Amino acid sequence: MSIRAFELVPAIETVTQISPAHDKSKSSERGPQLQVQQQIECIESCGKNIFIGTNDGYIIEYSFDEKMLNGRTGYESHQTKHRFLGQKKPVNQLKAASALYRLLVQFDGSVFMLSMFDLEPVTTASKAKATSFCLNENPDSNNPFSVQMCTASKKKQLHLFTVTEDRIMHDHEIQLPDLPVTMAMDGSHICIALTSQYIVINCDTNRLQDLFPYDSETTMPFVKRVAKEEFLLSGPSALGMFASASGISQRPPVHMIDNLASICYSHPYVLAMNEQFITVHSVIDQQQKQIISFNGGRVLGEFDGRIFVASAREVYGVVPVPWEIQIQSLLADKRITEALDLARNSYKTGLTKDRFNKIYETIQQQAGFIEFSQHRFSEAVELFKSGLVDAREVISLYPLLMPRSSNYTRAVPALHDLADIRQITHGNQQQMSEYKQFLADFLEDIRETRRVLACREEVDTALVKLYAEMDTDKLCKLVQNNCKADLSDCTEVLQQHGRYHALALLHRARGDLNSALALWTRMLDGELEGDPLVNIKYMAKILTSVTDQHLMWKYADWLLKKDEKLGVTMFTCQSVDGAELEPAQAPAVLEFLQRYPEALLKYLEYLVFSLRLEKEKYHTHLALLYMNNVQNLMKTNNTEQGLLEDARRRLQTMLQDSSAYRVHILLGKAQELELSAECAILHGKLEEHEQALEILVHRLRDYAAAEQYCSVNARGRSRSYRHKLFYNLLTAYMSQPADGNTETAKALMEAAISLLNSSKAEFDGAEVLRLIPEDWPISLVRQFLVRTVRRSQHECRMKLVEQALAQGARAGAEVATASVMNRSEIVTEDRCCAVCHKPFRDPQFLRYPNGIVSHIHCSNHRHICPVTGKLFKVILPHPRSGSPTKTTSFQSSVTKPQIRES
Amino acid sequence: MQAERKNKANLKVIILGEFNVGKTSLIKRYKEGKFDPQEEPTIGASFYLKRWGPHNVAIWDTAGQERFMSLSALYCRGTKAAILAFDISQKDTFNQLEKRFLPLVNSHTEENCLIVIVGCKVDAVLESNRQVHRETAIALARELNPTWKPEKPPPYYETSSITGENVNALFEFIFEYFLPLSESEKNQYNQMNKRTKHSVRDGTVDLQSKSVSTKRKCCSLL
Repeated sequence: MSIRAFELVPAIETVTQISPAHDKSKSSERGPQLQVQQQIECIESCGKNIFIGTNDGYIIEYSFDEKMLNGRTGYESHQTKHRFLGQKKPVNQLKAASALYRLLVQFDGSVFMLSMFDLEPVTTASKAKATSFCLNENPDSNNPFSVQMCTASKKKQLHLFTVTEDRIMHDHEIQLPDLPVTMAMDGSHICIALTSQYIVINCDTNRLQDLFPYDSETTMPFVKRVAKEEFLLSGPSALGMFASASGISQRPPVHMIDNLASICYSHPYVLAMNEQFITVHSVIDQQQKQIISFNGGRVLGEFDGRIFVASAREVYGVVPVPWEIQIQSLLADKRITEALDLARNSYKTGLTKDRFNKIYETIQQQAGFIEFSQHRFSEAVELFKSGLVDAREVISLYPLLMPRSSNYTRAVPALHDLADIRQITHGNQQQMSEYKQFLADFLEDIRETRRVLACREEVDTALVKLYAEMDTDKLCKLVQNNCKADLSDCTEVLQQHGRYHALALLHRARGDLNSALALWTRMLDGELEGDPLVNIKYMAKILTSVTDQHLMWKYADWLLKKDEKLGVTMFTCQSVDGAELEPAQAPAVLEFLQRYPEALLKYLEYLVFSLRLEKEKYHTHLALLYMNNVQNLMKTNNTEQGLLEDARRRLQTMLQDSSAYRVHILLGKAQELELSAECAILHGKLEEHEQALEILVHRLRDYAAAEQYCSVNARGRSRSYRHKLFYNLLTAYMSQPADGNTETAKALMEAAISLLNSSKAEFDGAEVLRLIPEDWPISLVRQFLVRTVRRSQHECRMKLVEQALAQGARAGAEVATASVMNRSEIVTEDRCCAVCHKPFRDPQFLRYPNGIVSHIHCSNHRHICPVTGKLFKVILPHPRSGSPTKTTSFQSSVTKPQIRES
Repeated sequence: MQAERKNKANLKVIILGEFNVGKTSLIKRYKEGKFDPQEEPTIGASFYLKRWGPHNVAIWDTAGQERFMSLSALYCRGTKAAILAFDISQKDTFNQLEKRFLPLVNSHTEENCLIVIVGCKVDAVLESNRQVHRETAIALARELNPTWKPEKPPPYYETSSITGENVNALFEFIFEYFLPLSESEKNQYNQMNKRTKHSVRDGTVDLQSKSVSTKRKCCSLL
């Protein structure tokens, strides 16, 4: 899992050319044969300067410029100053105190101070004997113009100094258990590598905390400050150990290379160097991330955020590769997970959240396209979605899917290097269709999201084209669902694939019904390839919703010509919700349908039966049409009996059920056609029961029908009406037949007897008795007589019961009234009205049944208690009388006062 | 990992023991639900973070090799619970606990540190060929935790990272000891655990480990 996290950039090419002048003078002094190989011993950087300490007692200052070239950092440097420290001994350590403009140098067993201006020694400051030193990287002191310095001497002690511009002042010393080798200071904590162990000393309290021992033969000790009170130490087996001032390790160790020459820390990486390599380790996952080959490295250090590495003669900058570039290179290697991981972890590096999200989205998109190009569709979808990819970017990969009107150009800088899917699939048809399916799924998925609003046209067009090609039924659903596709573009494709139905739907969704209907009619006429969904019924349904009258009539004609019965549904299936209302255009429709009798009939049936319109015109019209139908059938004798009967039954039912038609017109017509049964019904409608029964009994001789007629007409009528009706029937039975046929007479008599004895018929016994001939034996009418007597007796007894009950109720009410009226109420002087709370001055007052006593003028209503609002008036059903209710009231009583003297 | 790191751990647990007794495998078994027979030796130490209800628990895995012994002190500091692991099939690893690791624990961990003795690789031994007897180990566990009430089961577990036996029980026992969870938190934890385990095992349910997680077998003898 390697990453190019850093790269080497030359900073100072070769230090040999540093001071030709000086070299010359040197060579002239000592002769060329004595020239020493000059090597870098230590470096320090401060601001735009690099200070180099050499092994032969020189300090050389370079100044450099940082330049960005093609997104990469480059250094340009030149030598500015140098100073010879007087002895050809190595300069061991250099530290800049930038605020003081001073350079601290450890040279020849002591530490002293140089001015940064001219590298002249600061004479006012004394030298301090020391083998090594360090500065406090996180000083406690408030004075910015002083630096805390800690030095190690050849004794077992540390010395603390305060360094100012012109002085090095000794503060105090700390005794150690062993000789110090190297150290780092943070606040009041000093982490020290002794000859065989690491310790932390608190220089305020002198408390010593052991960290861990090390083997000085195998391990070269290093101490670097990492964060507040946290140090990086080199441990056994080249482990980079983290230790806090309290002796706890809060991070797992990193495993570095052997033979360490130097280490340094730059979040989140630890850099380690040996003779041949610089390795980079992440403290996030403790893995080695990068190996940079670098021969002869001597010094590695982080200075004010820049990392420099020096070999014997050259200085290089170790420049962190911007994480964007690291990610790009990972993406180029198609290492998507690592790229995304790195991106997420790089969020820390000082970007605003918005900006980071933007970059992260782009990375996700790029990753998405990589997955896409490798057929990993589910991953690609996830990345596209979370990276909020522009759908057009994806669509543009598919040839011919973008609408011609779209002026979309691919994102710059390019998110991918793909030309189109033909390139990815190398023309493999199977794969092509997989890619198309992927796009369809993807677009379908994101279609409704708000993000797509801007490019809805492109998305919908692409979808329409894909579906048209894939031959799925989703196409029709899509074009009806708020489809924003480019019309002209889609028309072409849909026509090409013969998807005329979808095209028509698209037209309709766009409000262009005319084109849609034109297409459908052409499909039904067989001019265009049809669709199983499109039939006459479908057309009727479509036309139902047409609001444009002109269009509707235009296509109604076409439709009715095609199929009257189905065609008429365009008028009949509309407005199911407002079913009870008469369609406004009904007269117009009727007018229009004159040419289509079958449709007209259907339409009238719809008006009358489905909408239940009680309009005389429609009912009469329908009845007449039925009658015409019957007439036509009767004329053509060869028709089947069933058809005629069916027609007549329909007519009869209609005549019987409806009562909105004009009876006289129909009666005239029925008589003309000699439709006796219908005549009877019509007579019945006119309440001419004698005529009706006459027809039924004598002309049709259909006694069952006659009895049926009576019971139908008797339904819901009063008692006397019912009696009269059945009496009429009986009379009709009793009257002699006109032709005097004895057979008939006999049949009639039988019918009369059975009617009398039937339980369905109701008679007024007295009247019927008068009608029954003298010569009939009692046995014939026995049943009738018994029942009549029984019924009248029963009625008589019921009445008696009712009477008694009513009397009881009345007595009860009277008792209640009396008890209320007889109660007395004593009103004394201190008794107040319940309403106005004033005493009674008048002798009269009101008392309600619930005991509330008030002035007469304080009460608004006699029956309503003014305090509680209770109503003292009960509505009782009266058992006796026919009128449903009678009111009984408990009136408040007006009482004469009985004033009692106290 | 970095994001997790930000949350300060509420409990620090360290696992110590001789080289190759199976410390890393034990943690990986618990954390990832799988066993890698080719586990690399730990170098220095490594670190695992586990969510326990609302808490974070840091589990520090140390290297058993002698050369890293000096570092262990760094990791022992601030520890409230130490797992001393040994290999049941090797007597020496048990003896080393007292010799090498106990001084470390005693001198560097927090006061009243819970010391749990864990016998690893229980799957590799039978009652007949085991080298460390349960009673011996239990005696040590009781001795090292002098405040441990005798009626409570001793802090001793015999685990197998191959079958998962007692692994969950061990860690849940430690966590529950310091950070008792409410009933709802526990359910949540169990569900989360189940989910991660299942995803790792491709949907197959390891019956054995499940039965172990519900029952604490280790003290059934007592």
